[in-house]
Amino acid sequence: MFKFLEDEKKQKMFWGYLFVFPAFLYFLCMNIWPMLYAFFLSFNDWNLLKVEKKFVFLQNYFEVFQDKVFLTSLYNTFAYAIIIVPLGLMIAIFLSVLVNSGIKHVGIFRFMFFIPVITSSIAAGYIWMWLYEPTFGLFNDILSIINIQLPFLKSTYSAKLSIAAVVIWKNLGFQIVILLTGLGAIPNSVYEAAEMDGVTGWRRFRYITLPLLRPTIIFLSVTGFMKVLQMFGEIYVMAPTGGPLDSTTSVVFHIQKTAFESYRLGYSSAMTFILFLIILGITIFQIKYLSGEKN
Amino acid sequence: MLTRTQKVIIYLTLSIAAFLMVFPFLWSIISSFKFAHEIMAIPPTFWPENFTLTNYYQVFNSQGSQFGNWYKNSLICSSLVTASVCFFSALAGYSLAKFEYPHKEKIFYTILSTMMVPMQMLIIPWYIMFTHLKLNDTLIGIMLPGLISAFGIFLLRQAFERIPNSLVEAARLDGASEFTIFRRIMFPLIKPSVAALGIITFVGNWDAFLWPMIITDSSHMKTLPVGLQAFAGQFGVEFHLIMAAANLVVIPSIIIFIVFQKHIIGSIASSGVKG
Repeated sequence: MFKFLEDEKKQKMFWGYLFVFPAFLYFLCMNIWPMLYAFFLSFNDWNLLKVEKKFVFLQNYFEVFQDKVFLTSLYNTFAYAIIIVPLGLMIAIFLSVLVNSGIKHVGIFRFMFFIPVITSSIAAGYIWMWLYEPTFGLFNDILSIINIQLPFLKSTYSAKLSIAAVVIWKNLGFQIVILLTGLGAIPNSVYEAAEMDGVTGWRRFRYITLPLLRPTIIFLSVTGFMKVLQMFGEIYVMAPTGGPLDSTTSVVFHIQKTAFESYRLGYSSAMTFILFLIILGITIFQIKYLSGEKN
Repeated sequence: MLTRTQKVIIYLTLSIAAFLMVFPFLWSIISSFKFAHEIMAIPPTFWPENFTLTNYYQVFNSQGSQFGNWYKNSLICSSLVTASVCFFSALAGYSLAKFEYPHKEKIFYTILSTMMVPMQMLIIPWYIMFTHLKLNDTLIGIMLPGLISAFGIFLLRQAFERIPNSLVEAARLDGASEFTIFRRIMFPLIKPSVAALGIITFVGNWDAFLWPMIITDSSHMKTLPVGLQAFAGQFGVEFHLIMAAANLVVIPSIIIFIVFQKHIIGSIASSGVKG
C-alpha cells in the first residue's frame, strides 16, 4: 500500500496512531477546545441576546464574588456536602456491616438497596416531592397521628435537609455495594486473630474493620463530595426556583439559570471556572492524601 | 458465629431498611392507581378504594406528553452512545496499551486530564458550538458530547495491559491485519471489561438530564427524564398524573435491573463509578 509501511516498526507506529487518533481528535474538539473557550468567555461580557462580546478582563470574577445568590449557592453546596457525605456514609457503613455479618440472603438486601441507584433521579425527585407534599403528602399524614406537621420543601429551615435526604437515599445502594467489596477483601484470618485476642463486637469494628476500610471510605467521601458539588437535577425538580429564598440553590443550579435563562454566558463561564478550580483543588488534595497513605 | 437473637435483630433491621428504600416506589405505584379526588382525600386512604388506570390513559393522551417519542429518543441515544463509547475506548485503549510510538504518554495524559474538567464548564461552549453547527434540538446534538469517554479509555487500556504481548505477536505472525487482530482476537478477550463499561455508560446516559434539557426545545426531541420534567412542570400539583408519568420512567429501569442485576451491580462495583 504505502512504501513506508514496509518497515515493520513504522508500520506498527502507523496503526498505533490510527487507533488512538479518533479519540484524541474528539477530546481536542469536545473537551480541550471548549475548555479554553470557556476560559476565554469568562473574561468577556456577553449576553446571548446581544451580538457583541466585550472584553472586560477580570470584571466577571469581581462580580461573582459580590453576587449574593452565587455566594449563597456556594454556601448551600458546601452545606449539602457536609450533610450528605458523612451522614450517607455512616448509614451505608452501618448497613453494609450488617449485610456482611454472615447472614444469608445477602443478594436480596443488596438488590433492594440498589434499586434507587438505577432509577432516574428526575423521577425519584417527583416521587419524593409527593411524599413531602405538605397537605396531602404521606409524611405529614403519618405525622398527623402525633400532631406534628412539617413544611419539608416549603421552609428555608427544612428544604435543604429534605433534598439532602433524597440524595442520601439515592446513593446509598452504590456506597453499600462498594463497601461490601471492601469488606469482602478483609481476610477472615484477621478476624480470627482478633477473636483469639478477645477483640469482638464494637471494638472489633472500631479497631479492625474501620481502619481496614479506610481506603474505601476515603474513595467514597471524595467521589461523593464531587457528586454533591455538581448537584443539579434533584434541586431543579424539587425546588424549581431554588427557593424558598434561594435556600436550596446550588452552584450548578445558579450557573444553569444565569446561562440559559438570563443568557449571561460570559459571566456564567466565570462561575464554571471557579467550580472547576474547586474540583481541581479537591482532586489534588485527594491525590496527595491518598498517595501519602501508601508511604 | 452469631447467636439467634443477634440474627433476628440483624434481619429485622435490614428488612426495615430495605423496605424503607423501596417504599417510595411502592407508594408512587399505589398513588398512580387512585382517582384524582381520592389522592387529595382527607383523611387519606392507603389502598385505592377504586382501582383505576385513568391516570396512565391521561398521561399518554394529554397534550404535551409524548412518552412514545421520549422512550424512543432515550433508547436511541443511550444505545448509540454506549456502542460508540465501547468501540472507541477499546480502540484507543488498545493502541495505548499495546503499541509503541512517540508522544504516547503525552497523548494518554492529555486524554486523562479531561476527566478533571466538570461537564458544566463545557456546556456553555458546546451550546454555542452546536448552535453554529445547527445541531440544536437534534439527537446528534444530545449524543455528541458523550461519544467517547476518557474514563472508558483508562479502564480498557488497563484491561488490554493484562493481556500478554505474545498473543498479539502470534497473531501478527499469522499475517492478520492490525484491525483484524483487534476485532477478532483482542476485543473478545476484554469483553467482561467492555460489558462493565457498557452497562455504566448506558445507566448514566439513561439518567442524563442537564445537557439533554439544554440542547432540546421541541417536545418530540426530548429524552425520558427531560420529557418527564416538562410534563410535570405543565401539570404542577396534579400528583396522580405525575406519579403515573414517573412510574412510566422508573418501571422499565427496575425490570431491566431485575433481569440483569448481577451484571449491573458487578459492573458498578468493579469500576467504582456511576455514569
